[in-house]
Amino acid sequence: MRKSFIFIFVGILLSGCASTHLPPVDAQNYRKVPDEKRLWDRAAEERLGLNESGLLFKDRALEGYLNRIMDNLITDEIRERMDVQVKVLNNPYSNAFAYPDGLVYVHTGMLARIENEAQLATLLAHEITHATHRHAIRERRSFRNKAAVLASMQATFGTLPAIGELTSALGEIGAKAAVSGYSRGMETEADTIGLERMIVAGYDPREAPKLFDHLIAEMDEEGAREPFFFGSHPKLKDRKNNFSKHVAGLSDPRGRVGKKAFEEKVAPAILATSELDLKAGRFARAEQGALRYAAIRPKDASGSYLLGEIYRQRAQEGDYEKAKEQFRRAVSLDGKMAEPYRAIAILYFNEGHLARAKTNFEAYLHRNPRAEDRDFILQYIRQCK
Amino acid sequence: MKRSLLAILAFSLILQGCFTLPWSQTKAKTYEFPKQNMDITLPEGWMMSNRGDDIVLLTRDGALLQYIMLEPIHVDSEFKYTKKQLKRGMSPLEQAEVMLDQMASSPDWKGFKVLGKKPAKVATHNGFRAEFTYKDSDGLGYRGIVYGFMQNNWFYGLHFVATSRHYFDRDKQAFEDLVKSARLRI
Repeated sequence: MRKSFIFIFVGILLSGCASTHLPPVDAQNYRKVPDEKRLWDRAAEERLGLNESGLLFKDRALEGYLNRIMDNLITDEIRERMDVQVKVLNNPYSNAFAYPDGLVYVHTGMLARIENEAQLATLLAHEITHATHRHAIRERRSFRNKAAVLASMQATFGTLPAIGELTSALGEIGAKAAVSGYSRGMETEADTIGLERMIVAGYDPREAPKLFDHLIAEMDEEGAREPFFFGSHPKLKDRKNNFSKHVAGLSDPRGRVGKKAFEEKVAPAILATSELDLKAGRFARAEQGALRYAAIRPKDASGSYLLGEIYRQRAQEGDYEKAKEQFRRAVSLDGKMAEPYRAIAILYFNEGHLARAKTNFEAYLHRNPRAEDRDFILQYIRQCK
Repeated sequence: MKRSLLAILAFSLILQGCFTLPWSQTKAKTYEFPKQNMDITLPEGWMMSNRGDDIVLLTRDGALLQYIMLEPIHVDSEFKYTKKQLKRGMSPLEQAEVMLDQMASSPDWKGFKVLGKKPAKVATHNGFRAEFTYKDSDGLGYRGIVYGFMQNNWFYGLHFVATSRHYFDRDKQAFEDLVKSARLRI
């Protein structure tokens, strides 16, 4: 009788136990396993929707730059066994995530907060480690193992608390990576190995903990407890402290920081994020982004125009004058740009300076005769007479 | 006998208003919406939500294919997706900017794009008309029209959204006719 129970128990354990101990992709004994292949196929299917969603931020120079940085962080074995790529999503919030087959997505909002190439390398190295160390399939197996054992025990030994929700709670692959992330142990592994990758690539490891300062700042601004991928993760400050301790233990923590090259390539993402922040009424974030863009590209009228719009729409005391100053600057940088004329015209109209308003509305239509708000502007002009 | 009694009881409850069906079919006539402060002629054969919300919602084939919505918003209200606010005395162009930015900031509406905006008379008041497109999370394309105007302390928005393929072109005239009929009660 006792032996029967032992056999039943062993059978139950064997019924769901696929190994969660899988060597990383660049290991000599790496072999892709069948359930992992299915996961990769599903990931590729999911991305079709993402690519069609209109969310991709299309900037070849930026994408090329990010992929060059990533290329410095991975080994030849990884390159051969995975199609590692970095793409950008137009989203103002700080986030980045990796699919199990090597595709990494970074939000424009994340790029807008990062200060330099070393911090970017920290982020990319962390994300690609989720893929190279097969966290998606390991965690899926871990979940299923627990669920399968519990299901078997339930069937054999009676009622246990409902577990169907456990297996169905795994969710879509991308949402898992992007929203809830991985277990504490796997996030720590990605942090540790990611840090090693960026050091080997020649970056200054002292920049790595600063990545978390940006995330903490966003969390404080948004009033969120923890942002996105921290469902069950070590808290941000704990992770920063772990990084700092590791860096403090290094004998010669010097390396490349790469601020100038980074800012020049990432500038379009900074501008795009600032525009989205303005639409969402996050005036402080929008202003920071626009000021940073204007500092990186002082001869580009877009930065001054955006700053002007931020002040015009925020409309706090003194903002109208600040806005006019920025619109005039935009016009002096690029006389062909139409939008600053419209914007300053609206300010003059609201202040009752109808003659000046009319002149500027007409200048706007002259530069953009097919403006999508043409009828509005013509109505304003009639009201100015 | 028992079934007949139950059927009679259910019917009586419905007639007495004790039990409301979630949707009712519209007739081509003018409806009064005192809660929304508007009278509007609705198109024939659409379904109107009876939930008693602040918004009036209509659809013909299901809200995921097309819907018309009447949405009064108090000028001091906060929006869900933007921290911008409407202000008393805002011009129709500025009202349009706020409403379109609220839509553009929705996480469910991807690739939001404004096709055009222009002044429009709505319920005899100076307002705006804007047209836009976006995709949902599954990549399905939608196109929409929004009319809006401000009167006293309220902004009134009339929205039409439908899938870009087939339903937008088929039903947009019904929406335009509805907007032409709109009148404020006070």
